This record gives sequence, C-alpha cells and structure tokens, in this order.
Amino acid sequence: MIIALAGLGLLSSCKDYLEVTPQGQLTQDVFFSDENSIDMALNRVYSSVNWRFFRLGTMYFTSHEFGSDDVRLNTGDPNFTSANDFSNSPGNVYLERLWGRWYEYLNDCNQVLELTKKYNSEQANKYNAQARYFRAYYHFDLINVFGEAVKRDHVPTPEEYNIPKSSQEELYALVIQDLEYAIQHLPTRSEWGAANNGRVTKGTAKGLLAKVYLYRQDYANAYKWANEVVNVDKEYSLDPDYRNLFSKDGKYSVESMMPGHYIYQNIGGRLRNPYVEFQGIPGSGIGSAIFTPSDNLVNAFEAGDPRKQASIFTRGDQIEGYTKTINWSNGFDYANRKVIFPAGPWPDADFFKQELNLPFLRFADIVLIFAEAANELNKAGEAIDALEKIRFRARGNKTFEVAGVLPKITTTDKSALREAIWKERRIELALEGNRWLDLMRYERVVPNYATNLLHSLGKTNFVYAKHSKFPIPSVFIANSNGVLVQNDAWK
Amino acid sequence: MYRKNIALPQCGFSVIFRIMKLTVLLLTLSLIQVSAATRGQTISVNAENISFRELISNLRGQTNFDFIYSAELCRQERSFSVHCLDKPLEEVLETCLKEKALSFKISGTTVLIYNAVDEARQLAITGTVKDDKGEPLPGVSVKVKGQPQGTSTGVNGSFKINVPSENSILVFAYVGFKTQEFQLKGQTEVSISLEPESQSLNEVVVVGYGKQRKSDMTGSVTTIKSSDITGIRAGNAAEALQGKSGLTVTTSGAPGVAPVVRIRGIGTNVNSNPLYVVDGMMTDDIVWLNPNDIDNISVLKDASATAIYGSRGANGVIVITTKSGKPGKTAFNYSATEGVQYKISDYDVANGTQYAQLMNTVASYTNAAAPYSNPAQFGSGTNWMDEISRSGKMREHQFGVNGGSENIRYNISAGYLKQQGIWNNTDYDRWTIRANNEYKLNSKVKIGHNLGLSLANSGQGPAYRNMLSVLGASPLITPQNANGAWNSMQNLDLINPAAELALNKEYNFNDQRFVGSVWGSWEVIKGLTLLTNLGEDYYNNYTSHPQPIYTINSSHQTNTSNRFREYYGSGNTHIWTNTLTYDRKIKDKHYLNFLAGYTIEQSKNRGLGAIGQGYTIYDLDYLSLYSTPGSTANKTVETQQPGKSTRMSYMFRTNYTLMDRYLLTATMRADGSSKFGANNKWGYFPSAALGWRISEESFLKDVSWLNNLKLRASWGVTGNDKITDRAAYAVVAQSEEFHAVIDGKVRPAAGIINAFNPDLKWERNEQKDLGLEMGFFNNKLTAELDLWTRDTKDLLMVLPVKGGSVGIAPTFTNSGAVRNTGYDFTLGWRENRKSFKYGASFTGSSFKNKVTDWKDTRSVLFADWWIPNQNNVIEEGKPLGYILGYKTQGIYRSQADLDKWKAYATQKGKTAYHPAAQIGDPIFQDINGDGTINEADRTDLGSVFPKFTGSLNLNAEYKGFDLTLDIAGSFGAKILNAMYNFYSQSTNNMHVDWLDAWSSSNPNGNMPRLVAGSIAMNQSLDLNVFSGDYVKLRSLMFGYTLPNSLLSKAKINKVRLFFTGSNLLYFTKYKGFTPEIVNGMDANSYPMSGSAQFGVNVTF
Repeated sequence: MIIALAGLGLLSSCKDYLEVTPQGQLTQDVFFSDENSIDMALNRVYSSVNWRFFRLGTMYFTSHEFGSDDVRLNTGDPNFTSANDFSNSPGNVYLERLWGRWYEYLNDCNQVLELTKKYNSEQANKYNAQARYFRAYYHFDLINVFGEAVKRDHVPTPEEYNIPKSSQEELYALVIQDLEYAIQHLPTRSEWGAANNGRVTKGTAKGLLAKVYLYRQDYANAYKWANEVVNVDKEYSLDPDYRNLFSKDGKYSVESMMPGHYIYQNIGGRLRNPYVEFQGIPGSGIGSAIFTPSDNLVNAFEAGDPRKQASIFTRGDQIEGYTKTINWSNGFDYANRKVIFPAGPWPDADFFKQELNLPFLRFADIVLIFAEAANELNKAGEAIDALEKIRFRARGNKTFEVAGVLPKITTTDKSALREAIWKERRIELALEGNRWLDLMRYERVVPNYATNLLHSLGKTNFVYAKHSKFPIPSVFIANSNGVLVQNDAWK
Repeated sequence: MYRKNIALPQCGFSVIFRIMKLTVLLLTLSLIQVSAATRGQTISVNAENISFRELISNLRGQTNFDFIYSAELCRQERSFSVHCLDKPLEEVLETCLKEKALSFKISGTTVLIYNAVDEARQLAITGTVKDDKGEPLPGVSVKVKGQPQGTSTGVNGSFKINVPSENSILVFAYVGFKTQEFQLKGQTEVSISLEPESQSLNEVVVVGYGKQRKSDMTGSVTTIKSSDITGIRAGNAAEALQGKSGLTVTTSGAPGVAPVVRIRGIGTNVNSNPLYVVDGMMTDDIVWLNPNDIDNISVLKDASATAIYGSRGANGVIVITTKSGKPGKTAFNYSATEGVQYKISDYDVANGTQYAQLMNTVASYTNAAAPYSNPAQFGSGTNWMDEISRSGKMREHQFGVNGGSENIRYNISAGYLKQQGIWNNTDYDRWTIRANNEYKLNSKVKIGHNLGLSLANSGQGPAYRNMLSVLGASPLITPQNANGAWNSMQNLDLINPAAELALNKEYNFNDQRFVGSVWGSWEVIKGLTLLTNLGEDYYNNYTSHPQPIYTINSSHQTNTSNRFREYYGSGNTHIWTNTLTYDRKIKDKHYLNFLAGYTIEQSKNRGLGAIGQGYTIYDLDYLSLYSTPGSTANKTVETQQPGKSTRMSYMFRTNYTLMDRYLLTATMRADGSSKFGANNKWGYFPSAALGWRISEESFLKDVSWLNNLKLRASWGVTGNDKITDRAAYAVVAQSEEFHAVIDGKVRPAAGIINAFNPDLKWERNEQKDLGLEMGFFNNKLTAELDLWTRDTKDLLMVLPVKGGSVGIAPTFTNSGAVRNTGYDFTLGWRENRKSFKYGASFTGSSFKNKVTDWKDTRSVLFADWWIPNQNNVIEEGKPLGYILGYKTQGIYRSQADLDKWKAYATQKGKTAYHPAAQIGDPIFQDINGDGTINEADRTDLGSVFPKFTGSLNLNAEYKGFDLTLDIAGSFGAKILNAMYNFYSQSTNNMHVDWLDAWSSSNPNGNMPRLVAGSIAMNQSLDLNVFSGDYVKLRSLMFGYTLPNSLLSKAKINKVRLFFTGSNLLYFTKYKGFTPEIVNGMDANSYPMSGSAQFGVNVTF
C-alpha cells in the first residue's frame, strides 16, 4: 500500500506541478488581449485625477500653493512649513512622493502608448491622444515644480531605469509635441458627448498648450491657442454661477476643462477626499485645516466682490445644515469656502468625504491667459474685453453699472493692465493651485516681482534663483550613483 | 538516522516477533471490532507418531489459522498420535496437546501453543528501575537472559516479570543508559539504578528526516530539552531559544506575538526567519504550539545539518519534536500556573511640571510669553504609560495522558493559556489539543499521527499612532474630563491612547490552526525503512472589530458612524514526504546510513472581509454584516490577493562511520519552486562534512581524563524562496484606488505597474563550519566550539529603482551578497553527588555581518512610512541595516560659533557650512571634508547587531528542591531610537533629556534647541543612537518535589510545586522601552515585561 502511495506521489511529480500562475491576477498578454481592453489601462491614467491617492492633497498644495502669499499654514510639520518659509530641503517627503507619483502616472501613460502600438486605428489614436495629454500635463508640472527633470517618453527597459534628467527645453519640446498630437486626435467636448464627461478634449489640450506657451512667455503661441479656445471653438464657456463651479454639481460644468474625479465610494482603502481633508476650519474638527487662506488674500478682494463670499469662509459664518457649534483656533478667522458646502449632502455626515473637486484646468484660466497674452502682444483692447468677461461673471453676470461692484478695467497701459490681469488671476483662481507658479512666472516677466512681494511680507530669505523650484528629492539623487544630478541651485 | 539497537531493544528470536505479531493481531482485531468466524471449521487428522512440527504443518494445511509457538517446542522430543474426523480445531487441539502438557489459546485465526508446565513453574519477580538521580524510569526494557519473555517498566519505574529459575539473570536496557544485568540469587524483589551512558555522546539528536547519535554527527546542532522549556514564561516556545548558542532571539513582550529568531546572523533581505519543522511538518512560525507539548528542540545551524532541508534551510532550521507516548502504565499529568505579568520599563518622558518647563522653553525661542508661569503647580501630571497599563494576569492549565504498550503509544494533552497584556484591553488566550499516537501493526509496519489544534484569541495590537501619543501626549491633560468624556490631546497628530485602547477593546483576532501529520513506516527488509508522512498546516483566521461612534480628534480619532469589521482568512499547506532509509552495520567497522526521499508541497491562501456601518443600535450581539442597515453604501468589501505556490524536492543523504571514529556525511537536495521562472525553477543544494573522533584513536583511548574529542568540518549550500509568488510574471494590477470616474460613473482600470523578472532563481546560502567537541573528567566538563562563515549569494531582493523616475514598482532580482562570520560555543559542567546535583553551562555566540555586494546602491532595510528617519540602510562593505546619520560635535552656542564654521566653509570655497543650522542646533561633522554639510556627510553610526550574546545557566538539586537560573545578555548592538527626537509638533511631550535643551536661559544646555523642523529633529544623529546592551535574569525557577513517602498512600506519583519568574532582573542603560529591538530601529516598541508565576505539577 505504501508503495502504491509512493508511486502515486511520483506520478504527480510531473512538470506541471510547479506551473502555478499568480492567483487573482492575469498576465498582461492575457489581460490586454484586444484593442478594447486598453480602455482599462487608459482609465488608470484618469485615476490620477480621482483624488483617490490620499497624499495627493498634501503633495499638490505643498508644491503649488504653500510658497505663495495666499495661504497661511496651521501645522508644525516641517515638510509643509519649509515650503512656506523657504527652509526647504531635498529631504522633504511630500516632494519625494510627488516626484515618485508623477512618474507613476507617466508610466501609466506610456503603458497605454505601448499597448496601442500594434493597432493603427482611430480608436488607438484616441487612446494615444488622451495618454499623451496626461503625459504632457505631468511633464509640464515637473518642469514647474522641479525645473529640470527626467523625461519619460516610452516604457523603459531595465537599462533605461536610471537615466539623467533632461533640460527644460527638451521637456518642453515633448510637452508641446504631445499636446499638438492630442489636439489633432482628441474629440471636442461636444463630440465626446455627455457620456464622456470628465475626459480631456481637444479644447483641454489647446488650453493647456496656451498655458505652456504663457509660461514660456511665448505670447504669440499662447494667444493663438487661447484664442482658439475662447473665441473660435467656443466649446467651453464661463459657468454663470461662480460658486456652482466648485460644488458637487459643478464637476462637469461647461467651464471645467479637466475636472477632478472624486466621488465618495464606500470601498476599501481611502474614503476621504484628499482635496478637502487637509483644508477646513482650524480647531473645529471640520477638516484637518493644515492651511487656510491668508489675511493677505482675504484683503486682496475688491470691495463687494461676490467671489469673496464664494471663496472665503469667515469666523462667525454658519454651514447650512451643520448643527454643532463651530469652534475656531485662536488667531484664525478664515477658511477656504470652495471646500465648504452645506452639510446635508456630506456623505456619512462627514466633512472629509464631500464630493468636491478641483478643476485642474478651467475656462476662466484660459480667458485670463488670453488676456495676458493679448496685452503682452499690445492688443490691449482684446485683453480688456477678456478681463471684463471674467469680472462680468464675477458680478453675477451683471455689468458694473448694474452691480455697482468690480469696476470695469479700462487702462490700456501695458504694465498697469498686466498688473490688473495678474490681480484678477489671483482672485478668480484663488487656492486652486495656480498662485505660487504664477508668482514664479511673474518674476521672469517683471524682474524681482515675486522677490519684492515676498520680502515685503517678511519672507526675506526668499531667493528666486534657489526657491523658485524645489530640489530633486535627495533619496533619488543619492541612489542614482551620480546619474541623476541635483539642480544647480540646490547643489 | 539512528541505529535500531538504540531506539528499541534488539530482539534476536524469531519467536518474539511471532508473539508480537499475535499481540498486534489481537490488538488490531479488537480495535477494528471485527469478530472472525473461527468456530465451525472442522478438520480431520489421522496420524501416528508424528513430530510437533509435522502436527502443526498438518493442521495449518487444513485451516487458515496461524500457529504461534516457541522454537523450543520444536526441539523438544514429543510425538503425537491423532485420530479424528471432522472435528472442530479446538477439540483436536484439546485432545492431542493436553496429554503432552501443552496449552493453547485461540484468538481470531491465530493459535498460540505454549508449555503449560513452564508457565506453572515460573517465579514472579517485581521491582523498580530508577535512574542515577533516583527518578523512576518508565519504559525500560526488562528481559530474562536467554529467554524470550520481556516486559517494560511502567510510569513509576516498576515492573513484573516471570522467570524460570531463582537464578535467572535480568537484563535492563534503556536508551541513554548502560545496559545492566542483574542476577536474582533468590531475590524476588529487585531495585536497580541504571547508570547513564557517558552522557552527551550517546544522546540521540533529532536531525533532518531522522535521528542521529550525537557522537556520529558531523553537523552543528544545538539541542534544547523539555526541561529547558518548562521554566519559560507562558506562551511561546521560541522564547526558550534566547541566549542559546548561535541564536539571536528578540522578544516583543506583547501577548501572542512571536519572538524574532535569527540563527547565525542575518543573510536574507526579505524574511530571515528560520524554518520550523514540527514533527516533520514545515511551518514558518510556532505561535500555535504549546510549549508544554514539546519534547525537544534541535537547532540545526551548519550546512551539514540543514542541507537536507535545502530549499528552505538558508536561515537555519529548528526541528521540534513533540512528546510521544511512552510504554508503561498510563500516566496522568496535570499542571497549573497562576501569575502576573507587569511592565518593567518606562519611557522617561517629562512629567507635568517638566512638560510645562519644556513648553516655556519652546516659547522662548520665538520670544513668545511663557505659557506656564508656574510649572511646579502641575506636579507630576498624567503619566500616560500608567494610564494605559496594568499588571496582567497569566493562567495556564495543562492536562496530559501518556502511556502505551508495546504496540500502541499515546500522548494526549489539552492546554489552556490566558494572558492579559500589560496594556489595558490587550488579552490573549489559547486552547491547544494534541494527540500523538503510534500504532505498531506488525513487526514491519507502524503508523501514527501527530495532531495539534490551536485556538487562539488576541486583542488589539499597539498601533503606531498610539505609541506616538503615549510619548507625545501632554501630562497636563487627563484621559477623561469630569463628565467621563475622553479628552482630545494638545494637537491633531496625537490621539488619546487610553481612549484608543478602550474604544477598541472588542477588537479580536481569532486564529484557528491545525498542524498535524499522519505517517506510516514499513521495514521492507532489515535496515531498510520506507516512511511516508502526510502533513497539513491549516489556518482559519477570523477578525472582528466593532467600533462605536466617537470624535476625539477630528483627524485621527474619529468615527462618524458606528462600524463593524469582519474578516476571514484561510489557507493551508500540505506536504507529502516519502523517504527510504537504509541502515547497515558491516563487521562492526563500517556503519552506513542512506536516505533518499522526495516531497511535494502546496500552499494556498484566500481572504475576504467586509465593513458594515450605520447600525441602528451599537450592540455587540447585533453587529454583523447581516444586520447592516440600508443600502450597499453601508457595506464595504475588503479584499485580499489570493496566493498559491508549490514546491517539489528530491533528496539524498549518506552517513558513513568508519571504526566509530571517522565520520562522513554527504547530502544532495534538488528543489523546484513555482515562484521562479520556467528556466530557473530548480535549484541544487549539496553539502559534505567530515568528522574525526580523535579520542577514539589508540593514542588517546587510555587518557582517562579525556572522554571525548571530536573535530568536524562541513561545507554546504542551502536555498531560499521566501518571496511573493508572482515576481516572475508580468501581471496586471487592478485596484479600486485607480478606477476612473467618467460621467460620474466608476470605470474599472488596470495597469502594468510592477516590473517582473522571469529569470528569477533561488537564493543561495553557502556555509562553512569548523567544530570542536570535548569532554573531560568523565564528561563532567564538556565544551563545544564552532567557527563558521555563511555567504548568502544571489540574494532575493527588491533593489530600489535608481533615480526614482521609472514609475514602475521594482521587483525581486538575484542581486547582492551578504557574509556572516562568527563563532558559537557552549561550556558545561555537571556533577552528581549523592543528594546534591548541580550543573552550569555558559553559551555564547558572536558574529560579524557584512554586505559584500549591493550593486553600488544604498537601500533602506525597511520602511514604515510614518517614521521620518528611516536610516537603517544596506550598503556594500557595511553590516546589513547599519545606522546612517550625522555625527555631531557640540552645539552652536552663539553667532560666533556660526561664524566660525562659515569661515571654515569659505576657506574650503563654499558659501555656507550648514545653511539650515541656527544657534542651539548641533554642529554636524563635515565627514567628507568638503566644507559644507549635506547628505554625503552622513556616516556609519553603528551596527545593529550585537557583538556578543550569551547566557549562563545554573541549576542545582538537593533533596527534592530544585533551582534553575538563566541569565542572558547581549552586548555591542546599537539602536536608532527614532522616537527620541521625533518632534513634529511643538507641543509634543519629550524625553526628560530635553529639559536640558539649549535656550537663551540655558546657554550651556547639552541638548539642541527644541524646535520642530530644526536640523536636530526627525533625523538620525549620534544623539539618538544608543547602546542596546542588556543583561537580564531571563528566568528563575525554584521547585520542590514532595517526598514519595507522603504520596504513595494517595497513589500519587509525583507532586512538584514551583515558582517561575521571567525578567525578574533587567539591567540596561538604553533610553527607551526595550533594548530588544529587531533590526535596530526603535519606533514602535512594546515595553518589556516581567512575570512571576506559581505552579503545581501532579503526576498520578
């Protein structure tokens, strides 16, 4: 009997016994076996704006807002405060995570492009166009945050894992190329139709390209692409209700060109909305409130600007449907109202889970880009018209004559108009991740603009050459064996 | 393999086998309850003057009966004349045997024929057998010289045997003792003490897939007997390994948490845990095993010993044998202990007054008003450690039955352990049931089983934020306010630790584990044994976690609707092992043992859980997924990646001993694993070892003071495949986190986010060992020394993707190499005087660890995302996980100091020395001398491995009293205490050392300024690297065995009362909860605990 058993054992010892494929996962050749399946790889690319990654909020605001004059921090965490008081170091963990995460997103984009290689169809082009839009978006952001960075334009072989960074020019070349491709192959907002709400469109790509050229101070091209969005295609327009744009229902507003995707789902993992959770009212338990609008920002609103009420929540204000007392930490009086909406619809009655989204790119931004580029190209009239569009909507779609607030800007003085446009950008796009990058851009347009401004606020240790970009995280420099070199200012 | 004549009394007579066969048959029949139709069969015999042999032959021809008789009967002159027709067998036997004074018995289809006269003439002898210490010896074989009869002693060492004459000679034989003969000379009551064989030499040691005499071994093995285990604190057997030769054991102190065991250093990046083999079943841990059930533990250290476990032996092997039945009278054993466990270490954080002082100091840096004008008014304030800790009760009961006959042996036990953790609401309990039985089916075939079941419940573990809060919480805040509501802490990073433990008190992990095997062995021919063993390791975990509604801290301690989480995880491993061993002794000169075998193994695991929320009523009996109200929005599914892997192995081993002094062991094992790519599934693991028992040579044989001198040397390779089962495959990841939302609807996503490596192969561990064993003065003094090196190559590790810009998670590669070199030794003294016996042993180990190849990279050994200074790194030329950080040289006490260093920088052509440094910060050393401080100036702050670990064991017995002391120590390890300068919020409480922080009013302070974000904080510096030296009284046991005179009337065999204590004394200068830190990073440690237990052990 034992022999029989032993014999059975030997029989089972054929080669197949050691062939065990992973449980619960398919290999890529099986999973992505046809063209349609690539849609799921593309969905992963879109996940980068669904705020599901719980550190996204901290990473995004640290690198896009905290250096500016718009925020006041309510935290002792040096990873945050160093971005605000310019004591930043290459060891900042949020920047480390940003770098890592952005390259993960770039990998997702390149994987889509890799998978579509064997198809030459309209569908494949559409996949490619969306992937290349996001590839441009993240490379552009790397330029803005770090300056020089590593370029990823294809799925690397292991030999290409550790490669040197590229110059800003090389990165810009890829960004522009990608956006031009995206413009060519992406459907327009109306071609996509409502069923594709949330996807990037031909207009989104044009808008981002306008922004890219604006950052390069290539005003002719910035004007050209912004003009297509604002005056030619007319696929997007200003939401008649400024406040609605930030509400749950404003996600797919006609103004939102690249909406965030957060919806509350009771699934494993992250429940909170990282865009919302780090904001809120200091001391109240409503949000972690690690940052709030600065007094300087609050005071920058023109008298009677209705956008102030839509953007700033002031001590003493009530939240509709919220029955508990709102306590405030000593010394804090303001919160960002763009993330404070009536409590009734809060999922689980939890502020942290509000289904709010940041528009990563919106029409008003493009209108202001158009205005700025036009002004720089000495087309003051066009610039004034564009600016007035924004202010008209801000007044509640009323003229100054009717509303009595926010007088129309009429100056044709280039520098004064520029200043007015910049001021408008600050108010219109407050706390949406533009101000810090704008300030650093302004410094290049008007020498010492940001330096003077920050120094006047007491941040006298700000040195543009150094602090305008963040250092490449030291952990990556350290382990690259000299391949990845720190940017000069941070050496 | 062990030699047959050691394990069992060798039986020379075929008759014995026959009788045994009968007994087996009787037994088997009664066991399986079959009654054969034996009556009614008739026979016819018509014969004149036939011999006994012819008669039996005739009867056997006509029936299907077996006839069993003594060979003696054939030789005796008897002739039979039988005439019968169609008579039942009984009648035939009755008539023809009776007149020849023979008797018979029929059982089933077996007939036993014996000499009635011999039986009547025999003398009954009774007696007891004891060992040299006077302890009764059960299971001793007692035989009459020249006669087939035999018996064995019962539990109390007593026996009864019939002898043919008053001058018969009794022969007593027992494993580990010298065989003794005793001439009766008319005595009918015998009392005898057996003398142990020269102790350690003939000790039988459990090795891989068998046993071996210690004297024949070429490998390095540490053995631990059950008596060494009884003294340890209730719970985990692995704690008994602490301080033993070649081992580094780190105990956590948390109930139900296994100590971390390392054998001979650390060589593997991923999982350096040794392999545990319990009764032939391989497992990764032994938390499920009741230490009371353990008979012995063998720690296989060198390649000669571990190579037979080639695939999984890379980090050493711990072979555990559980208690088996001993033949003799049934013995019942009951033991109970009752005790307490208490914390013996505190983290020295500032008290109320001191905290107020700290906060005043903090305020002084910004010239703010001091928040506390009169710190003294706060007194000691809240001691958070005291608020959450307690003296935990420990209780243990164990009941066992042990016994057996020649053919069945059984050991059945049940145990219960209840342990309260030293933290409030952290409890552990465990039921264990074990049945180890062995059945002898006939002289050739045995079957058996070792079945163990463990049911354990454990509560919440210490979560990191809780630990952070215990240290950082303000002593000025009380756990609850006057109304009994939980208070929030002084900042949002901290939670209320007392509340956390109370709110999660119903958190429960229920672990059901079955580990067992059934086996059968068949002695095909003499010396050739086939063994098959089917083992199963099955677990089922159930986690339940109810949480009420609470909001204490909006960020980290809030639960907006009540919740209930349930999670089920299940998995199993089955291993089928088949071995063929051949044992042969040729002409007393050559001894050969061959082993060939193969195993197949499969592991699987699955898990699923869910969270329900918004229950109508928070009632523990009501909470379930079933009762989750409303829509699916109130239910969350929790998934787990399933796993499956297989292994297959072939192994061969030869042991050859020439003239009892030249020893050779050679092993070859081939292992296949499903985890590797198609071309690299198989790995081959050879080993060879030589031994020379110099003391057996003629030139030393007569040296009376030298009893043993053995030199051994071994070389071999073992492997490791402890990695994820999918590293070789290009798999597509799907995760809810990465779904897109298009038009408000969730769209599933998939991505390729992991690198894969189809060329992955086995990690290889090459080990060399040189050992010396000595015994002096009749083996009173013994010594064993091993020198070894261990090279781990083709390390399975995940190298960080350099530059961090790939966006693909790296996977395993075979890269890098680590070398461990070291020595371990044991020095023992043992002497038995009349009523005083004592012994002492000193064991020690030391090793050096060095990374010999790390592909020019530097990686972090392990990463807990919340620890800011993850600076235990791996780098070529350094010990694995050494501490990387800045060295300091004082504090900048003035602007002049800052200027001085700026001048130094200028002189080196740099613009600044340390731009972020301010007055009050530590002055970092410019290690590379380039004139400025940056990451390149971080340097080696020490190795986390102890330079020496050892233990001293003392034991003595005197007239029923026994005392055992075990002192363990560790020296030379460095610990990075990440909590010491973890200061993310300016209101956090800190270690009292920070009272001496630099400030304008304390310009000579020895500590840096206390400012969040300053260069001294959340960083590894020499300031927060401490020595991890400790010496402790690991265990103390004091027992008293009641004298027999008191007990014999009550028919109780033995009663022992005892006290046992753990960590009764603990000496360390370490500034933290415990210096026993795995990997040298102290960030979330559990305080050390001591325990004291009283117990009683009764055998009847």
